[in-house]
Amino acid sequence: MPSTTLVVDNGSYTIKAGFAAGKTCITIPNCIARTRDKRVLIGHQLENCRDFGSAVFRRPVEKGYLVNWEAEKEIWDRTFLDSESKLKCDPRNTTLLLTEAPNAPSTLQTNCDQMVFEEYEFSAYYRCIGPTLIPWNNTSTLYSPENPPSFSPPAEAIMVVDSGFSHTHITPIINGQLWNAAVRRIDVGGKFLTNYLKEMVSTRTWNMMEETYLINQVKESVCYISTNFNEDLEKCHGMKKAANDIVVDFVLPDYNSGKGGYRRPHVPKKQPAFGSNDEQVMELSDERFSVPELLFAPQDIGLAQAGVAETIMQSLEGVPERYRSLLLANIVVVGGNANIAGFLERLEMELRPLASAESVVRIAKPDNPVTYTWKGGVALAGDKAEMKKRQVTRAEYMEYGSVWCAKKMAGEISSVPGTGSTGVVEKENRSHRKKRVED
Amino acid sequence: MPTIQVLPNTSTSSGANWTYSNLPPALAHTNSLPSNTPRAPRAKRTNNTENSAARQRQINSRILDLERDNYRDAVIVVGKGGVAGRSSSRNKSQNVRRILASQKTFANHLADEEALHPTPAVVHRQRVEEEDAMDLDGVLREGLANTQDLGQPLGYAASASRPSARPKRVFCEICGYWGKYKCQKCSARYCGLQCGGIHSETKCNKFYA
Repeated sequence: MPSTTLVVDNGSYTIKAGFAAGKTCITIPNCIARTRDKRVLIGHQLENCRDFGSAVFRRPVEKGYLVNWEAEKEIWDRTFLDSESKLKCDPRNTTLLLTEAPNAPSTLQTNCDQMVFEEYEFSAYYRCIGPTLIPWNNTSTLYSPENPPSFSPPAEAIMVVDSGFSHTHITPIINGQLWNAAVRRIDVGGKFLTNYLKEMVSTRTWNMMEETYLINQVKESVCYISTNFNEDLEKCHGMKKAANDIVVDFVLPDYNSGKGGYRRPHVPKKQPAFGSNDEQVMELSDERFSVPELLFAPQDIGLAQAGVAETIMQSLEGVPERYRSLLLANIVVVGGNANIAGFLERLEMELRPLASAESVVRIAKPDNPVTYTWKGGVALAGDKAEMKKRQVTRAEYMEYGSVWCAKKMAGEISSVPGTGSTGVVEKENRSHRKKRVED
Repeated sequence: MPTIQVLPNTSTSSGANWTYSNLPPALAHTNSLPSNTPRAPRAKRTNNTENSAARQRQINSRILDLERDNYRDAVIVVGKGGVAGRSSSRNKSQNVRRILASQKTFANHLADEEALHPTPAVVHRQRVEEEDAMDLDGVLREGLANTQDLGQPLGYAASASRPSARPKRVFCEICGYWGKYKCQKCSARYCGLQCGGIHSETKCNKFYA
């Protein structure tokens, strides 16, 4: 009987992982990096690195889907199997709860199942779509943090806006299940914004085309979403810099002395005193809000997609009418981009006129939008009976094969196949027969 | 509706097969051709660059650039060194070996998926079109939505957000202010004389392509 449950939210930028019993989430960069001194850093090793100048990255998760297992295996091995890792576990006695993005190609899902059972040999496993874990959290406390309701039934319908590193998903969840027909995706995510900022800065001030890591830092520390774009833009171009409160400085890191970069209020450029002040400063003004503006207006750079607010309305078209107001009143924003200042205000401002007049628009963001999905996973893992209903054990996988396994996790089959098993399952079994003999 | 009439700016008069112009001989043939020539007017052709196939290609390649992980293509080879505690001595199953050796990218998988299971996206699109064409009232529409219930996943392509109803805004590609003017040569946007100068000196595609 497996004693521990490992919850893994395998994102394209970071892996959010931890044991359900421990309740601490550990965030590990989900990438392999090569620095300019030709060191290769894998997963958590990136945290010890100081110099990310000209570093290049390889990410196993492409566009939100786990594609490259060669790279992912290196990271997982160092995270879950390395004896020095905090997340070291014995897969044979562990249940794995793993997330994936909606609408994943079925080959990738099968690959994932096969790797989990045949390479890592987890004793039981449940692969689910990340946003479906959100209702397991007590979402009602998000809307009134001062006086949380004493009794909170699980929310009937939640509209999850998951704005991550590689894309933004709008996923309505009704009665704990994903409403497949209404899932929508915008191909703008954190990476897109970082690259856009990089391009912008490189045209105007410093050439930063190779400094993806640094620009990501800059983006996280200075960018905000404007609630009055036109006015802010006029401010940045009509006013003197001294009178403009939008302009900030980002002091670039000095890799020789090991000083990191940081943001500071704008200081007008003075005559550099020779030798005394050798810091390099990047001034940012309209870049601060025109970059994340892409989340709400992807059409501005020619992408034939709508922004977050409009896409929410598109998604609602695919949902039965009686759920629409309910979903609008229960919007939860998760993912790294939810941390950009002003996201909620802007979303509410744009959504209010689009929504029908009688419906309430209520948007919330958890304290830590990055790990909120993971927390939901922990809550699900805590419900042993529910987990048992959903998971597939290794023995079942070996018996019924990967096609059955995928169907069960998609919720199409609820029990083990009876006497009249289909030809597909039979065929699948054959490939595992040899394996079973070994065991 | 105001009517727009094109007034001749030079005094020309034309007969059946000849024209008379008071322009200098070098320019005479440009302005005085009879207007019923099959060739499209020059102005019309240059205005089309905004929506041309070339412009669309430019936009697409820019979007692809923005989705890249690294500025330059880099191959990071993962070392063979094992991890303590990893059971590497065990024989890997055939599936695992195949998955680990696979060099397919997401685009490859997506193409495979579209080829193998083309139905969800196509069916969904048809359903939406049917529904739009029927123009049902709310109750009926709800009934239809209920028949789909949770339904099958839409698939990657069908789940993409539809184009926005809002107009595209244009920005100066040098400074980020409103892009009021368009470069005659490459249709890039700029905000004024200063940025226009910078653009034509450093970034204009027609010069440094």
